[in-house]
Amino acid sequence: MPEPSPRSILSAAQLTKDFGGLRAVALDLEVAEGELLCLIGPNGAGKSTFFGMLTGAIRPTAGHIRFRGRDITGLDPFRITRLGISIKFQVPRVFEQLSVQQNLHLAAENRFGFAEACERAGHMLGRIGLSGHAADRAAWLSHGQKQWLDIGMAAIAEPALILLDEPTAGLSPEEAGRTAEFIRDLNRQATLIVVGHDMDFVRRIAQRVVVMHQGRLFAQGTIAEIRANGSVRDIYLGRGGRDARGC
Amino acid sequence: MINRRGDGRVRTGGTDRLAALLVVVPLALVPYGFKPYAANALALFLIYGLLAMSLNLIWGYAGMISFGQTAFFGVGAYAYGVIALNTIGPVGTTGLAVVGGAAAATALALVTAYFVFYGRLSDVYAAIIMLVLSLVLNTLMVSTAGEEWVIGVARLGGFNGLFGQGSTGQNIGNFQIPPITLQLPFMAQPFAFRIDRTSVAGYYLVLGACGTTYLAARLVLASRLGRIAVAIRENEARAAHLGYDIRLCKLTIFTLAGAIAGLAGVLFASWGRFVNPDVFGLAFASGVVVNVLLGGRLTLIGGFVGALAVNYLTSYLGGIAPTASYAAGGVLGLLYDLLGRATQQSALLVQGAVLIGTVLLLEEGIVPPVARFLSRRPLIGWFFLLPLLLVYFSAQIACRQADFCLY
Repeated sequence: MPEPSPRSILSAAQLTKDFGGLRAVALDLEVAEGELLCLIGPNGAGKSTFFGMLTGAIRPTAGHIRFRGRDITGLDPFRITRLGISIKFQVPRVFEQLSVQQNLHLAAENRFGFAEACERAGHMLGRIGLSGHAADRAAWLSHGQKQWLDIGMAAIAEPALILLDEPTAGLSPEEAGRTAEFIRDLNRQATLIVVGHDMDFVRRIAQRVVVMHQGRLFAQGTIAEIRANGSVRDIYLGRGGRDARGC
Repeated sequence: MINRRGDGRVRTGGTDRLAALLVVVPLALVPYGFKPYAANALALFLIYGLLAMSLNLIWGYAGMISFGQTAFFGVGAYAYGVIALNTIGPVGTTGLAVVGGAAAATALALVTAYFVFYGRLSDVYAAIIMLVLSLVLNTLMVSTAGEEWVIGVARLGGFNGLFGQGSTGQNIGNFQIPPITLQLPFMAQPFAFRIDRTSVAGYYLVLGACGTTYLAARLVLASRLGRIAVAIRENEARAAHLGYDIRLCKLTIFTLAGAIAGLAGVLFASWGRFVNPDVFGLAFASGVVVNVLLGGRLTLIGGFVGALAVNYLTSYLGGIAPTASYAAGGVLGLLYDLLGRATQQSALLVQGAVLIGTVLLLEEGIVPPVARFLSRRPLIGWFFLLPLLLVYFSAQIACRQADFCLY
């Protein structure tokens, strides 16, 4: 396994996941401290499986994951979270019967204890624009509000690495714009890996873009480089021209 | 207890005090206003309620259904019986048996929880495993009729149930499980579990145990553990990805619930001075789930309400005297008689119909709509229901204690 560079926060070395005969992921990837990395690729490229392995929800078939120099391969999800990696899943996973405030409080309490978690929950309510909904049940929120709540829950414990799986899925362009701002704001304190399909959104936030295809790292570079890469267009954007997303 | 907003956090307030009075006052006064028979029956219903509350705790708050809470109940009852039969002669009290009964159930719950949760069984399998555990214990205990199944003086007795055999102290020949007998340093004479014309101490012991356990469970639910449990119920994977050790939390809550079920089993064995393998049977196990569903899964008190309602209904339907009005003669008397006979003969059918109807009409069970009503209209509670209860119980007490009967 190659030694990670000193600035590396996360490295995946020959990380492999097979489902039966299908190789879903076979990836080498380095993520630098403070980076805002966008992970793109067509459906089935292995992005969510990769996230699953990073957070401990899916056990890799082979390979290693190092986080801040420590091997975290195959650790339980709660241990990985405690080390400083948090995730927002593709579909918002909030505690529907609890209030918005209680959702955030639970997300913060494990790290900061009861009293400080109250303060931080109040602060986060403002940041995600849900101050007026503190006492509402999370089930009553709109889809976009649930997405923000979920991102807030992923960020409130101040993890070093935040994984966001399609944070703009189902959002209107304005909502996606606000989400992009919030993500750039989060990037001041944490490293982020964001899975996205919306190329407008990716363009707004990404410093580096990694393209996955059939479980492998297919290409990487700046958004301009990726857009100029013909083979990426072939696999992802559709051969030879603009696709339905207008890219 | 009642003013919940479905979020698992319990709020105290005016409605809570009202609800507590509406529940506690009648329960506390029953032995004074009614025959010991009523207190005796109510004590049993409360014991079933305590067992149901243990399921409320894990199902309603942590989202884990178990069809086998009766396994811990039964083990608590048997362990109490075996220890009490052996210690009542030499020691004269059963304090050790009470502790031992609850501890045996707790230990079994801990071991079961370890294998289920650390074996990463999914919820459905976990629920079935609990039921299987109960049924295996049923089969095991049924097959213990032989003379070789004896622990000290305690014969397990197979289907006939646990009994003592031999000669210890005042007990000669075959004898029953002794009732809870406690001698604490400050007591002039030992406490004895009795519910009859001479003493209703046993009833108050059961009521006190239920109240204390209920309050303790509320404290647990208001703690960090309780908040994590609710998070697990709402979304287990999310809770894990917030850094909570789900398995440890489930194990803890499940073991606590097992301890409560075990305590109920101890009280049960002391109440009836009898326990047989039926406590591990399918009918009893499903009854617990029915009680909780009927009373309200998402409330801690739901199990008690369900147990009281179901058991009262059963004994009421079974007790309708078919010949009571036959003497009155005439067509009406005959009809009433037939109705009574039909009801008594088909008590279980009627009970089933009532249960299905209630669950269909009140999806959340009995408690939540009543709680909402009380919190919306507290004045009706304070100035109508509570006075009504007080008047009724005063009249009952006056009639029973002073022969001053209004009706």
